Amino acid sequence: MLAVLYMVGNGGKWEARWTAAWEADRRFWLDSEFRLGVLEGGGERDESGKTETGGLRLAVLGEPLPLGVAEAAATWLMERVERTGARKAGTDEEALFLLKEAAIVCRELADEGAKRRPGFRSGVPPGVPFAGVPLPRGAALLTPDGQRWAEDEKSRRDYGRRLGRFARRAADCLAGQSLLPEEAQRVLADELPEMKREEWLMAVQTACLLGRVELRSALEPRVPTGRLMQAGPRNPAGSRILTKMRILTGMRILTGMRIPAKRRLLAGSHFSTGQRMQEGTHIPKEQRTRAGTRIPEGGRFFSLPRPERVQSFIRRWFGRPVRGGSLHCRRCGSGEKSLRRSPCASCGRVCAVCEACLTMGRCRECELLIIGRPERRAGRLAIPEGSLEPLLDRWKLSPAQREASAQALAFIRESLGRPKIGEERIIGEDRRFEKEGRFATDRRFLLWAVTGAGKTEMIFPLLDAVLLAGGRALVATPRRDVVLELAPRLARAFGEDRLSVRYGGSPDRKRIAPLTLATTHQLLRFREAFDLVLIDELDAFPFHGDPMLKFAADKARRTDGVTVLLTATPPRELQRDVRKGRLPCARVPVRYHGYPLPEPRRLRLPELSRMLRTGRLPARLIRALRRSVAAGSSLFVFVPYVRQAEAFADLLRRHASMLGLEAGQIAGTSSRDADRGRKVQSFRNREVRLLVATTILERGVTVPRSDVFILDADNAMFDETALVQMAGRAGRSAEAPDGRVVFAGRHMTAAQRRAIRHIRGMNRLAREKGYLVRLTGSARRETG
Amino acid sequence: MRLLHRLRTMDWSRWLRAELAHCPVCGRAFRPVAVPLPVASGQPRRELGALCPDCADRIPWILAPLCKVCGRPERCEDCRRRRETHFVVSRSAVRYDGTMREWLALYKYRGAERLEPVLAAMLAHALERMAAELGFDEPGKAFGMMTAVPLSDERLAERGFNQAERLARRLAGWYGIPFAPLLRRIRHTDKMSFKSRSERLTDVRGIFSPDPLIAAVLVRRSHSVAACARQSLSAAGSGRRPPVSGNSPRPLYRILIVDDVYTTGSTMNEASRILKGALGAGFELFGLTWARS
Repeated sequence: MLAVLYMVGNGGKWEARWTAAWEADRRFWLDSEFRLGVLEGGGERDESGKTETGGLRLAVLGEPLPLGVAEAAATWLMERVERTGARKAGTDEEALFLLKEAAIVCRELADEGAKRRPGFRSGVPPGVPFAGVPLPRGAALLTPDGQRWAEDEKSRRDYGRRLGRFARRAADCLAGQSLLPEEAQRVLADELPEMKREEWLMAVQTACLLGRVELRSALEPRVPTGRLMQAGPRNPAGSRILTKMRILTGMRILTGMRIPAKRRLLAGSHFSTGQRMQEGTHIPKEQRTRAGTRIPEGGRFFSLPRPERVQSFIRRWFGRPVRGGSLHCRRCGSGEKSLRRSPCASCGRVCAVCEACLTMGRCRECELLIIGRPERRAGRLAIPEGSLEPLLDRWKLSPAQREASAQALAFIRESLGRPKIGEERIIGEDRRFEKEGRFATDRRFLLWAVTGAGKTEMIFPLLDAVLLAGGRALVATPRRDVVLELAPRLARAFGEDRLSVRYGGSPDRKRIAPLTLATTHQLLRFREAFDLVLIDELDAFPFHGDPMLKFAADKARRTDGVTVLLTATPPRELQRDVRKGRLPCARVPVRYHGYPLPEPRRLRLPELSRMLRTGRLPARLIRALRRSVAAGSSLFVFVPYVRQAEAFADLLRRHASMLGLEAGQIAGTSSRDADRGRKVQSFRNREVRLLVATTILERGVTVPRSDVFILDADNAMFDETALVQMAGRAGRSAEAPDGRVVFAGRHMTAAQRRAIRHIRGMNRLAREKGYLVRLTGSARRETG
Repeated sequence: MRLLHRLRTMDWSRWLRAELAHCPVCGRAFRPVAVPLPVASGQPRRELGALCPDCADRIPWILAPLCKVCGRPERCEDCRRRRETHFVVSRSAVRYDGTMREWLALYKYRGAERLEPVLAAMLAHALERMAAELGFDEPGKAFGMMTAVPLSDERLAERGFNQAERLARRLAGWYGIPFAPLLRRIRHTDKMSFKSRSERLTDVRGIFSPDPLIAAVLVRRSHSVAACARQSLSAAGSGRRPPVSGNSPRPLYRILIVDDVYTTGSTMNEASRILKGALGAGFELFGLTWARS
């Protein structure tokens, strides 16, 4: 996408801007009738200062720029203007000069980022249409007096009013979301059916002019740092670089003069490496064909380098290097590593695409990202103190659940009431995760509840409190089936109209509802939208180990909001934070039924690969399995690798009679098994009694009366988290709260030791707090 | 200091780990193994080798075309019904089944450009086979020039790339066939994939025009070929046609039109019709598509 770079000046004060819909900006600044209409329609008060157009002028760059470049140029210009603006007012000539210079420097920096020779022309190839009114050539100054409008005053004002109205409503439905054009268009088409399809960009751009929506490049561009040269049209050759450029090329640079024909030829011989089929279409090296190199024979189809090319060469060799930040995806935070570059027909450059979040839509360097500013709110969200107790009573929690929820609630209440420290806006900190690789450490609360503690029940009071106070809450969970399972429960509790459910392929993509339930990937589409972000199973795939999703979760929260993390097995760095008191935490050490977690026992066995190779099962394993089967349990058998699951199930089937089972009662499954859902279902209803699985089943599956065997527990695939989660499959139901957990393997590993310590520690805590019910004879199962 | 820091933060375990490749389609890590591939040339073979065995297995190669015209592996009604066929033959690399549909959608609509080399390498299969059918051992000798079915400006700006052109350019690079955009799309049509057969046939009429600039190049090139041919005729004194004379000079009059999917052949036929009209006699047009539905 192409954008127009311009500066608005009033009384010597300049502001640099760029626009994706030039027509909207042109009218807004130059036509006072239109602007009045927009302000009226947009619901802004008519401030007389705002409508004063006397000294207003626009300096416009005639050539549309790739969107990312335009943004970088505008940002850089603003920095420069702010630096010098305090000293003196800028003249019109200076503004025009700066515009041209910023465009050249920023484009060059972007091209350098593309790791290409910064010589190819990144102008508009013939294939890129630029819609709207034709731009002036070069750079030009426009003033309101110099404009002639075809329509009369009233219709211009009406048009402004119409756009202003659309802009306001568009901003309302986009608030808190950060969307690509295609997604935004879909939202707007649903919410504003009376708006014409082609008007959407104008409406969004108008909302941007009103300050209600932020328009950004989808990838944060590199903005030059430092002063490149002494600028000023009176002394264009003031700097070292410029002087050298002048000496070398004998031309005045940056003032719009063309190089004379003779010079151009000379320059061409210097830089004859560029091959182009059509003027302006750069063909990267790997795609150059013989036609590309041969056709220019006569010189007729070969476009000579433009002045920029010469300049950039000189800049590279004689100038101070232009430095800039690095390119980043604004949606997922990924840096250079996840970017792929390719020639782009929408901007005419070799332009970067973020591959990390490609499944959620394509973020290009020249693509627009539409960010709805979060709702303005007077004051902070207040949860009255007296309301906490009734809230907790309402949701019928067990004592352990209730205590943890109460702690979380108190934390939320206190945090929401606390002003945020400084201006910790996320927009300036986009690069954060690459440096730190983890969450921002403020306003987080960890709800550490053992497997089977009833985490879902505990979140209800938290959501209720935030919704009652008029805030917005988000529940994010890694898996889609959990979303689908939880959605009806939340709808029943809080009302269907207040809930919005989002997952890949969900139909609901409108404005943000007070309560949103989403898969973690959907968080990419939010920005500063929620007062409470609840992240379920933060240590599970895909959330764990994916900095992109952490970044997204961070970004989805309002800066004055609270994050609550829910897990049974916090990653080690979070455990450390808890120990050191950096992360407030509430523990639920006991299951909802009040019985302790089954503690793992060790069983020394040879490695699984040997059993598979020899086709023999050790007698010790057979005995242990048979005992569980005889006690009437269902058996989870976990193996480390996908390929072992089915193979080991086969081996067990051959020994079925020795285990006291039939061959049909044994099944194996893994992440690659298309039939997994059915197998798990038959395991649940006890048609299958023994299920061999990989860690794919470590979470979310609850089977009454189950025992857990983990083979090759010393394998590196099984870390503490996985072991605790797998062990947590045993004894979950109230009827049979006792289960057996066996860690089988040749060695004891640190992970196993930590897992056992973890489980014992939780049981001890439960005992100390008096949460445990006494194991009575009837509840205790005979395990022989 | 810098160096020390580098050394300290370097991932040394990489040196010890077995090299794992990531499949560009499914993203899964795997150990590369040899899979039989119906492509002879080195570079495309390497690109296809980047696929994991599972994905490589799912490619429905067209190994034996049945329809002599369009290369369909089944009996083909469209070619029999067509009144005038302006291209000589057309060949496709794979059948357009669910998997291929998914892959193409991933590349074309989702913009997963990492798939591009793989798709181009698949197209190489059809190119090599077509060259063999024409009696050449190397595609570079069989075809004088390559072009692609263009997109409308609007669609191009929206998508950012023309998939057919990208694939063609890669092939062109691998086999040393010059690529040139010979066509322009002058009319914006709705997506072809939403249309019925009869709609497609009437709809494609007049959607292309020859690109004036490059057509001129072609004519010029054909003169140079003719000059070379005269030369070789006078040198050898035989009446043999230059294109079959093997190596240099490059015969130009077989032109390859590349597209992504061949459905009824109406797009291909229309493109050939326009090119034929613009270039006049002495040029033969061949179709090359990635998938045949």
